[in-house]
Amino acid sequence: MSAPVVTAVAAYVPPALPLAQWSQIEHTLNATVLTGWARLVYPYWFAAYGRDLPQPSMPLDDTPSASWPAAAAGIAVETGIGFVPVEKNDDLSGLATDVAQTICAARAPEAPRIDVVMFCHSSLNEHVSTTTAGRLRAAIGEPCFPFSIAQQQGASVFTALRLAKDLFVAEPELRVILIVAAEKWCHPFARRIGRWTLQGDAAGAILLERDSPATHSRGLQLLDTAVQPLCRADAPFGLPASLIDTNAIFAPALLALIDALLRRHGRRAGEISAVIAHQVNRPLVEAVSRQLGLPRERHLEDRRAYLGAAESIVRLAETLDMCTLEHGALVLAWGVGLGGYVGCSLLEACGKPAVCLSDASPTGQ
Amino acid sequence: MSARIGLTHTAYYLPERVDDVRSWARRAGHSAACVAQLERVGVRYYRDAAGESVASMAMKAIDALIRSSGLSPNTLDCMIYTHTLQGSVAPPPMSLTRIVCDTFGFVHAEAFSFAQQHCASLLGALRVIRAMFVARPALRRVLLVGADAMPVASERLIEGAGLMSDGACAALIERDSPVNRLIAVRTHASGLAWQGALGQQESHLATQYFLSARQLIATVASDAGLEPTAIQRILPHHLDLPAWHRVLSSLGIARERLFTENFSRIAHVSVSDPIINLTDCHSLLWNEPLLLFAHGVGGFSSAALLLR
Repeated sequence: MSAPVVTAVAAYVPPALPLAQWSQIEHTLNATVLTGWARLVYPYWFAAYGRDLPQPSMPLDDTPSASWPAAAAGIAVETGIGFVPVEKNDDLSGLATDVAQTICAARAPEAPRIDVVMFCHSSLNEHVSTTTAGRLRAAIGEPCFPFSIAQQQGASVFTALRLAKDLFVAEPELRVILIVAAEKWCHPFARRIGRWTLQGDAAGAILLERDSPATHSRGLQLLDTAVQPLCRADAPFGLPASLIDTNAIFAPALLALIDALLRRHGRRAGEISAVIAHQVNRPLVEAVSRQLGLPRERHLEDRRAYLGAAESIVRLAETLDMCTLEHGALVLAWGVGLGGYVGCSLLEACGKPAVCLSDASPTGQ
Repeated sequence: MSARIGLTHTAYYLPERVDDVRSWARRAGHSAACVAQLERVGVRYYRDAAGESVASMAMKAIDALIRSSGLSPNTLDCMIYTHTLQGSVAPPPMSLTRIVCDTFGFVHAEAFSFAQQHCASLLGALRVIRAMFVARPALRRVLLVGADAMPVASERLIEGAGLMSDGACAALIERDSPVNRLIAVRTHASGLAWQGALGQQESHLATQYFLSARQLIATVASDAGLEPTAIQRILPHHLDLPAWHRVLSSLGIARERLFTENFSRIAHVSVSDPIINLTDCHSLLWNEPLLLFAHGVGGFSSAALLLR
């Protein structure tokens, strides 16, 4: 069976705050007393995994007396992150639904119906009993198989792509799969992971269609995807706060996975025309690019916070919006799951997918 | 396309603490009418994790499965973790699937969670697992895990239908399985009631659940080339026992085929009900079809037809 084709991409990034401003807000949030379900449940939940609630957002260990602006400046220097997209109006399921509806609205009336919807995320919806997958089903308004893929954070999208390919093989009648990814971080869940990264809010959706004469020239063919966990000996469950130490664990794992994927398809890094990288922090992106021997211009570079599960789709939308990929151009997407996963995909341009990008965030390019 | 796969081993873990619906209602501030309704739908007792984490419960279920099956951890290709409640995972940015894999030495296993079909998630995941086996010829064994713990007593009530219990389960799914072969799996999602506790439980939804259950069972039987009456055992979710009797009656299936021996004893153990029942039901007949069924609040249902 030939590989499925990405025929449409939609992304939304809310307005971004400068890092120093976000740090002040974070300081205030950490002093906020939890109420309701959160007060009853979250402290015990975190404690069961050996964590205290505010820990990830506390001042950095080595700068306990530093002012918040000074601490923020320190993070900015190390990670290269200077802006944090923060959604103020919608909840997580609302963000996901909006990008899904953007894709649906752009489809032709005679287009085949969406058969499967996968939702990828790291952050939680505002109420524990809601289901974003259910909301997506309701919004699409037609019978489909909706579910979430998670616990791999940013790497979930790569697993979703793998499963999509499996479903196309196993279910011949299946024609269209929608993958939606969204993040919205609410107190008490921390946007900042030690000194390693800082997370922003965003949502993205991609439409995968079975390869056919009608779809082949309209998008990117998904050649292959790989996902794997880090070895525990290298990366214990609690991520180290140090950027250098953590990058030293993720970068070699990413490079090995990318190398294996390229070799499986008889391709070389030099053939890659565009890289859709997870901008977890700038040194990690630079390390991976350097080791692959790829010049900087092959990937987007800015100062926006890391968008977790939504990162790959948002970056893909931005790349397609800014660049023209020639027929046959090879695209590499790579990413990480903060809990200890790495993933990558190879795509080949056979046309240009429909792209709808709504980005209100300054990126500080 | 199909793959010859089946649930070769199953296990579960229920926390030790047993509570009854009357004392629960007193503590949670629910009325005598609520108790009467719960007893009418078949609930008497439930299990309370009493602070034990879902990670601990899931690991105990997996440990029981490894001991009973003799599974070599390094031969596992994939682990899929399912749950109903958003909090039944590790808090971000941690990953429960990675913690479990590292703890048990599942060093070659891909691992992720499949959720948001609420209590239908575990059976819903079978559709994805089947696809993985079809598309990946090298895949040999997948571990399907489910766990949930409701941390707030008053929230255990599933309006009009049952009471949420705590527990975990594990099922090993292998290629070329000689038992419990997966013949067909069907899923249904309406998207109605996606708001969970924030939404209004409307009376017409109960009717829709009845209709979707009936339709799903008929369809999954048809997929297997069977009449519904050919199904020898129905292993139900532990919600609304009278509704189950109505569904079976409407399909012409004898009430005696419904497995209810643990129904009132353990209440609704979220995603784990079908696997607990498959483990507990000792009257399954060799090579006879049996049905696993799950329903999730939010308009999700899943049905799997197995050949014992």
